[in-house]
Amino acid sequence: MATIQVFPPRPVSNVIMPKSGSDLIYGTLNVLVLKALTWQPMHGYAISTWLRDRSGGTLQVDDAALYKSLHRLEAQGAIDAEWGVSENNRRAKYYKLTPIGRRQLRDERTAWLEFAVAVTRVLRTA
Amino acid sequence: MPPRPDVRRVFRLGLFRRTGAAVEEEFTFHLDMRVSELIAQGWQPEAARAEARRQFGDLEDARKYCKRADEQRERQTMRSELWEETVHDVRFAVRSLRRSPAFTLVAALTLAIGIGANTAIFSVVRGILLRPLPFADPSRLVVVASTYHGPPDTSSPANVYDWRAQNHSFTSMAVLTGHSTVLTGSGDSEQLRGYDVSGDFFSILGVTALRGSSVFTPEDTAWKGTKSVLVNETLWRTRFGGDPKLVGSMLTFDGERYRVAGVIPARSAWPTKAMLWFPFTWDPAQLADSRDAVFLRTVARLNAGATVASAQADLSAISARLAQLYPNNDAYLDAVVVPMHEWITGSLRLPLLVLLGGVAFVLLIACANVANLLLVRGVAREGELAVRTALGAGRARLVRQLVTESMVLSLFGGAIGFVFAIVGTRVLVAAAPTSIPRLDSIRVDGGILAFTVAVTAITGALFGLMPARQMLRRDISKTLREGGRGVGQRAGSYRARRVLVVAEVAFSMVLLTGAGLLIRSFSRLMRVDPGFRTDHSISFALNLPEAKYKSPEMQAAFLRGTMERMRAIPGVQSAGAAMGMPLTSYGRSSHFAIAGRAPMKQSDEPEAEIRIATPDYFPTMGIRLIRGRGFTPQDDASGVRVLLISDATAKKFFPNEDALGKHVTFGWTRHSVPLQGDIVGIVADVKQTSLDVAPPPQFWIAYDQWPVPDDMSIVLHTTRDEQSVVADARRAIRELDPDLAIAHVATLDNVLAESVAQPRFYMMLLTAFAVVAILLASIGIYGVIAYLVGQRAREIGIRIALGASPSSVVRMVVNEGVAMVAIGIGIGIVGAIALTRLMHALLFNTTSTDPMTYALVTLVLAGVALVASSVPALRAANVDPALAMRAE
Repeated sequence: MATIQVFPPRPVSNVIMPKSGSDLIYGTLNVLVLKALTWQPMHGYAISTWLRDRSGGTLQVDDAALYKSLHRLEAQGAIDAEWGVSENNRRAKYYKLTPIGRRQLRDERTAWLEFAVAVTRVLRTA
Repeated sequence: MPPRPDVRRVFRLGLFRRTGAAVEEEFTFHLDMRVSELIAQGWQPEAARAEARRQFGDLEDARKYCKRADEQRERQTMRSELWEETVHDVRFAVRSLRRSPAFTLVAALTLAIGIGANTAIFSVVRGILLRPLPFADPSRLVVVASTYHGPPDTSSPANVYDWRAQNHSFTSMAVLTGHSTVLTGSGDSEQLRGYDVSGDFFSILGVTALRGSSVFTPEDTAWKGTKSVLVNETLWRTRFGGDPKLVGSMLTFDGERYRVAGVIPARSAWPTKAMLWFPFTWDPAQLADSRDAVFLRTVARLNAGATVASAQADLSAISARLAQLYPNNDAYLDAVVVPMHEWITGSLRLPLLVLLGGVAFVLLIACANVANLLLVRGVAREGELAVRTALGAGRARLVRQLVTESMVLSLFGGAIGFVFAIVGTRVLVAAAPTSIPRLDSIRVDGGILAFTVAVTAITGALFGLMPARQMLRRDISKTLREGGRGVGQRAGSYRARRVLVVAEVAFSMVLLTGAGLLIRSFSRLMRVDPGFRTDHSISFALNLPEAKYKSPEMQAAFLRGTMERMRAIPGVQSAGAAMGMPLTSYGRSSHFAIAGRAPMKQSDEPEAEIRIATPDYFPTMGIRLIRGRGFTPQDDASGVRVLLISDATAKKFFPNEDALGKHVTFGWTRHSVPLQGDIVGIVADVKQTSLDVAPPPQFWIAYDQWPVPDDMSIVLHTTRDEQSVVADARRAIRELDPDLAIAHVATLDNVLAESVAQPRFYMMLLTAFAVVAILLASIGIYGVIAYLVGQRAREIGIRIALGASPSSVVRMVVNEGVAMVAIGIGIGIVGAIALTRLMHALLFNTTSTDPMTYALVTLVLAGVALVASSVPALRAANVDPALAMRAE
């Protein structure tokens, strides 16, 4: 049922591959980052906080992995970066979704959910 | 909070320069935020900082990773932006070129001529000099030639066999020697060029047969072995309709039957004119005696360990041993090893490179002209450029845009030029003398297209950069203030244009000098007396098959009968025959000894060119008798053996005595009887090899006393149309013997023209280039002077209003042109002296500094320049002062 091709959900080409050192598999992190940005443009710190709050603290996102994911997504064209001014009046780099990113989120979200359902089904029946 | 999207571009460039700093700033912000969050939760500042770092994870790795990702993205953005800008520039350029179609057309055509001519000449150079020979691994093929104190020559069978047996340099070595042969049966008799070659000749070249085999078997090459033949694909297709059953069938050549062993592909046929290859055989019993029979050419393939230099040393060492062993014949024997490609094309290197250099000059002049046009256009566009600069376009950006425009223009010219080149190359190949080898390998293909593209790009940069820089040098605020109108006092632009014209004149001068020298050399060549008359004369070759005409007596009888028939043809005034035609590089030579002089070994004996002729040959050819008597019909087999010698021979060998009556014996023997005779007359020198080579000593033999079956040329002097005479002659020969065929039919005028076809071809081409150059240069001069007159119309108007005479105005304007041309000619003369030295070897009796040529060329160029600058000058003299002043 669940096959390798869904995971990581999207082949990443032309991008520097991550080395390691993440609690989350980076494909998953990508989809989470994209999801975070659907609300509004955010800087890295805000995304980090958002992820922690939203998951109720379950997802311990390594900040290093988060930034790698952000820059990777930027290089892919899934998100765009702009310099803006933060809540406390400091220069901060804001990320926002591009149309490519929106499409990617949609695809990966579906793939991820299907994958989760499949894994769950396997675990239940076995 | 985030800035508006359109402001992004401004920031982005900064981001790229400091991607490192950007990542740094981002991380610092993150850590600071985390620290203040932790402090708010009650952490001590020190501990909070440590905790924030811990939570962040591998900072160093993330930093490196993010920087790399950013740089990658920046590069992509830059690339796509560059592409977008280029597309924009190209569109813009096309639009702006379309707006001025006259300018575009003139500029593109000028470039097309330059690029097209360069491409056409390059395709010739590539086909002849650069393309590898049509053989396997051709760089390993060499030719070995004998030298006997002189230029490279053919070799004797015995020496070649010794070289072949003793060398350590070649995988194999083949010999070849040419002859004419007549194919009979299955249609008209046809005389064809054949070569006798070693059995492994084509395997050395690495040529496989199209059908059958490309090598001869040992039975074929054995003395009196089986008779077989290899057929050229061209002959196979034209005469036998590509019949696959030809291989294995029998053909009749010179009355003997040969089995067809294979068909050789036309592109790999060598020598290129060969239609047939027969096995070369040599009587082993006579091998030892063959050291004075020098007639073989060779080709060999270097083995893995050998180089040309090592093979040369090897062969020279063997030759030195042979020289010691056989001093009588080979005392001065040496060998030269020459790469086959160089052997075939060596003599073409210099003329082709001279042509390539000449045509490059044409392109340079075309570039200068177009640059000039762009400068004029640039003046008109100053307003536009100034506005764009004011709106924030960077200088580099504008240069790029202008250069893109010249590139588009150049590409346009290049495209037309490529079409010119395709046509031009065809014309060149068709017009080229057939004596130039490898014409068949000249093609316009992808490689040539790549050359055109490269030349086009270089051309675009060449003529585009200077005007672009010139246009941007100007102070924009001034232009804006003048409202794009007052562009009168543009000293910088005017100087640039003068420099361009001086360069054009200088280039033209060099080219014209080169062409002038070739013309002068050629006219001197044409003034050389060939030693025979060429008008109203026709010649053709006739070979008698020895299988049928076995004895010399039969050969003599047949020729006598033939000549009678020739004389009977209406309109034929006289008819003669001789072995070989003058000026066709045909020669048979022998060493000789004069009776009564101290005997010497053969190696030391002088060599003479031997011609065998009928008595009527001399009056027919108009070869003048200087002293004594010519041949008569009584000089036959029963008569005393007689000889004629040439004037130069008499002067060289009998300087202080009368040559008449002296007895001469030659090395050429027949059944151990040497050729010999008494000198009975002295005739004028005949240029046998070519007009520019002084003939070697010449001896004439009476045909009836020493008949030969092959390589006979019959000459008819006629008052009638040559073609109808040929038809009659052909019919007469066929009636005498239907198995004979005549070949190489040509008027003597054509023979003479053909012998100088190469120098004429080079001269005509270089002259054509020079004419184009001078035309372009005169357009350039005209343009600059006309521009000057336009700019100074007001000043001229004032002068005329103040009473200046029209002639003084003309003088003032013309002086301007004369100054430029004088400088250009001066520089050109220096360049010509430096460059024409390189073509010294192409010149006949003419030094590369020939003062007459330089004087004439200067005169021509100055004249053209004067005309080109007078036209606008005369217009200046007619300026209406009132109009000119009102115009401002």
